[in-house]
Formats: sequence, structure tokens, C-alpha cells
Amino acid sequence: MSATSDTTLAPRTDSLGSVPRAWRKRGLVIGGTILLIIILMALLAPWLSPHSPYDQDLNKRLIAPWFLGGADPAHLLGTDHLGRDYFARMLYGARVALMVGLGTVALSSPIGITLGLLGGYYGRRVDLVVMYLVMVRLSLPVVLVALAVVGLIGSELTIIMAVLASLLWDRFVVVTRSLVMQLREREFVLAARAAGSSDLAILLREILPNLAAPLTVVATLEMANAILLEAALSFLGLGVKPPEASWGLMIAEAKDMVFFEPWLINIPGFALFALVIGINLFGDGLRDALSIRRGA
Amino acid sequence: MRRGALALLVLLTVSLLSFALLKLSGDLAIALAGEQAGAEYVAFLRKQYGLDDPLIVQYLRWLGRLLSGDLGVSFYFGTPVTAVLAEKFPITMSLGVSALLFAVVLSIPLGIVAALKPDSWIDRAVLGVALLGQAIPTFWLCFLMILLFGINLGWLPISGSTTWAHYVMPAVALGYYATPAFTRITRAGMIEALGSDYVRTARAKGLRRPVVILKHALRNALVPVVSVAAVQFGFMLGGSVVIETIFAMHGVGYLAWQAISQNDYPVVQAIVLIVASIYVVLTLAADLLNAAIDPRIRIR
Repeated sequence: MSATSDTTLAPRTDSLGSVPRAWRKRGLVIGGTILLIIILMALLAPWLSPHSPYDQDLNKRLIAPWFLGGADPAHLLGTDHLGRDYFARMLYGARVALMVGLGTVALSSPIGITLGLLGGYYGRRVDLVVMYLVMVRLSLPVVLVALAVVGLIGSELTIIMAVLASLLWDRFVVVTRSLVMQLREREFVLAARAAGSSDLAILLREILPNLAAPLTVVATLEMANAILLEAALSFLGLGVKPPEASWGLMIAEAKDMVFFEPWLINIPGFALFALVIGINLFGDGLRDALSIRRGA
Repeated sequence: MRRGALALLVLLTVSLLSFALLKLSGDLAIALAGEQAGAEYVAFLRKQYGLDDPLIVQYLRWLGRLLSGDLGVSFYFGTPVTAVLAEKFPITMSLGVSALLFAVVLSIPLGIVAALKPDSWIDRAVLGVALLGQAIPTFWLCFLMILLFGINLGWLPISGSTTWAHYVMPAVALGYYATPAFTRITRAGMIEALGSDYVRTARAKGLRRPVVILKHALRNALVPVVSVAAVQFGFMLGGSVVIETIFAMHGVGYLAWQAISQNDYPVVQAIVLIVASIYVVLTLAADLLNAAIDPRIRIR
């Protein structure tokens, strides 16, 4: 199998470098700002909103948000169909989104990077096994399998993260593997080998540090991916369970009111969109910042 | 034919995983007998269906039935899974094909335009559109379209799958997610092709620029697009779950969601298996096709 014929592997790596150079510095700043705002919202949730995201008040149902002329200054983003404060639910939803993003990548990156290092460094049979694993993973439809497994074993947040992590490691493998293949014959690696370093030492001390920049981009992309998938699972009723607040679940709870109160869907929808854009811009910008400093 | 052997091995692994999914979903005998059935009846069913045999025997028997086209019986519908699927598959296939068409028709011109002037404002705008495709949550896009075209303008029906108009919004939503991949691969291929010797020769021969771009450069740039199409079509079949649920299209995606909610795992298992198999076969076909088109690619 030559590298160019590899349909299963080639297309997904080309999304690296999605933003033109001129935008990237701006991207880092804009993306970073969006991310920082959402992180602060998540961390400071109890202090930013006087309301609990769970307290229902049936006398105060479906109050419009301020930008649609909502009458209640106590509820800036209005209230949902059970009279729960929408701003508070958005804040706690941000926690779920960020936790799923970070947790999934923290679990999936070690799997993918290890497989990529092994396949790229040892080549031959080892690489064939790694490629086979990646092909099996790519053939499995992510949304479908995640839904099926979560439907079977439960939908606690830790389970959702574990299931997503078990499905989102392939891009780490593909990127790590191809970079290691380029690096393994370079002088500094040969020098380390000549000096008697073990394979493990070469992989961890010589090769891995050089992968920091590209792997950062993969990590951000996969984080965004995990966040969208959790939202989709929760939207389909098989992810985060009520009364918890997840942006996907909030959209699901409001979908019967799409004709009358579309803002109930548009607020969490836009938040998801902003978070994913922010992560993508930040990741691309960060890669550039890292590779400039490394002089690569 | 290592590529073919690998594909076969992947298929076999996928079948093993589907079987595991079915086994993990609980005791089939209890599911078949019903909750209130007596222990004796359950034991009888277990013996009848060979559920006491070693797992490997059960797997081989299941695989044998699978190869003869028997995917088991749906708990919920009480009919063979193949019959249930045969009814739903055309809808999802039509949806997938229209989504693929939409993505290709939108992305190839965008990719060409971007490649003609790399790093110009047009190029940046095109990549911006691609970035949006990646970031906008599919289900939010669906609702935005429903609000605009379904309700405010009243142009398109918002649920069902009876006429072609019902497929427009779902196909756009499903296809839009794939546009970044298509746009980037077209753009990259075109930039490479436009800088190549044969394009310079064609220009030097005095051929007009549009002819060179569309006839000489594009033909070569489209080779990798075939591969992306195969990959994306597989993703679309899997991704149709969300879309079909929102637009109430009773295809395979909707069926999968229903089956998971109803614990009807014979159906779930069959859908996972079929979608995965389609993906494996399509990517293999794309590789072979590319090798046939482009002699530089050699498959071992």
C-alpha cells in the first residue's frame, strides 16, 4: 500500500492548515478570546448567575431574552419551558462541553500517539497492524456506534467521554505515524541511536518533542469533534440526561417549540458554533506560534 | 493483493464487533421470550437457538447465516431484519447520494476558484466557507433551514420523504458538513496541477485558459476527489441518524435511532455492519479505481 493510494488515511490529514497564513495570527487572538470567555463562563458559573440551572418556576415559563425585548431583568437570556433560567443553563452547559472536549482528548491522544509512534518507527509488520486498526476504526460509523454503545452501557459523562475517546484516536495515529516516518532517518535520531539510546528513549526524547505543534492541532480538532458529538448524542436523547444542562440537550428540549420560540434553539446552537470555531482558530494559530518558535 | 486481503480482514473484524454488540445487549432468549416468560421457556429457547454453545461456535453460526443473507429477527417488528432494512434503505441511499451531489457541486467550483489565485481574498473567503462547514453543528443548521425555508418562506416541506422537495434540506445539511474536505482536496489538487509541466505545455500550445483549467488540470485534480467521495459517502450514511430524526425521514438512520431506544439490537447490529461494509467496499473500490486511472499509484 503506497502512501498516495491510501484513501482511508489521506483525506483527513489535509484539514490541517485549514486557515490561510494571513489569518492565523488574528485567528489565535480571536479564537483564544472566544475560548477564554467560554472557559471563564464555565468556571465562574455559580458566581455569574444567581439562579440554579435546575430550579423550575412554572409561573415564569418562556420569558424572552433581553435582545427580544424580554421583560424580566432577572433572566437575561429568558427562561425555558419549565421556567428555568436559560443563562444559568447555558453556563452549566459550557462546563459539560468543555469537560467532554478535554476529557475525550486526554483519553484518546495517548492511544493514538502510542500507535502512531510504534507504526511509524518500527514500520513493516508493526505498521501493518497499526494501519489495520486504523482501517477498522474508520470503517465504524462514529455517531451510530457511539449511540449504540451509550444506549447499551449508560450515559454518564465519564462513559460518554470513554466511548468518544475509543472512537476518536485515528487522526492522532495518522499524523504521528507519517511524521515519525520522516523523522526516524534524520541525523539527530541516528546520532542518538549511535550513542546507544534505546528505542524508547529515542521515541520519547528525540522524536516526540518534535511532534508537539502538529499534535496540538489534532488535539484541538478532535476536541471540537468530541464536543459536537456529545451535543448530537444528547440531542438524540442518548447523551447527557435531564435535568442536567448540555447545549445539545437544550436544543432537544426546545425542538417542539422551534416554530414559536426559535431563540431557545438558536442560543445553544450559536454557542456550540462559537466554541467550535474558537477551538479551530486557536488550534491553527497555536500550531504556527509553536512551529515558529521551534524554527521548523 | 495485500490491499484486498486487508479489506477482507477489516470486514471480518467489523463482523466480530457487531456480533459482540449483539451479545452485550443482553440475553437474547429473555428478549425473545418476553419479560414475563417462565424460566423453563427461556431455557428452552436458549437451547433451541444454541445460546448455550461456546461463543466461537455461536459466532461462526451467526456468520454462516449472515453470509446466506439472514440477519436475524427484529425484536420490535417481529420480522426478519433484512425485510425491515430493505424497506428503509432506499430513503437513506437517496439522501446520501443527493448529499454527495450537493457537496461535490458546491465544492469543486469553490476549490477551482480558490486555486486560481491562492492566498487572494477569494481563496480566503472559500476557506472561510469551508471552516464554517466544519464548525456549524449539523442539527442547528437543520433548524436554521427549517426556520428560514420551511416556515418563514414556506418553500420546502419540513418533514417526511415522499417527494424530491423533502430531500433538499436534509441533503444540504448532510452534504455541507463534507464540503470542507472536498473543497480543500480540489484546491490542493488544482494548485499542484496548474503548476505542472503538462499544463504549461498546454498553455504554450496556445490553448485557451478555460480549456486548460477544465480539461487538463481539473481531470488530474479530480483523482483524489474520488477517494474523498468514497470516504465521505460512508460518513454520510452514518451521519444520517441526526438528519433523518429531525426531518422525520424514515430511513436507516431513523430506524437505527429507534432501534437503539427500543433495545432492538439485532437491527442496530445489522445497520452498523452494513454501513461499515459499504465503507470498506467503497474505499477499496476507490483505491483500485485510482490505481487504474493514475499509473503512478501502485497497489501492492
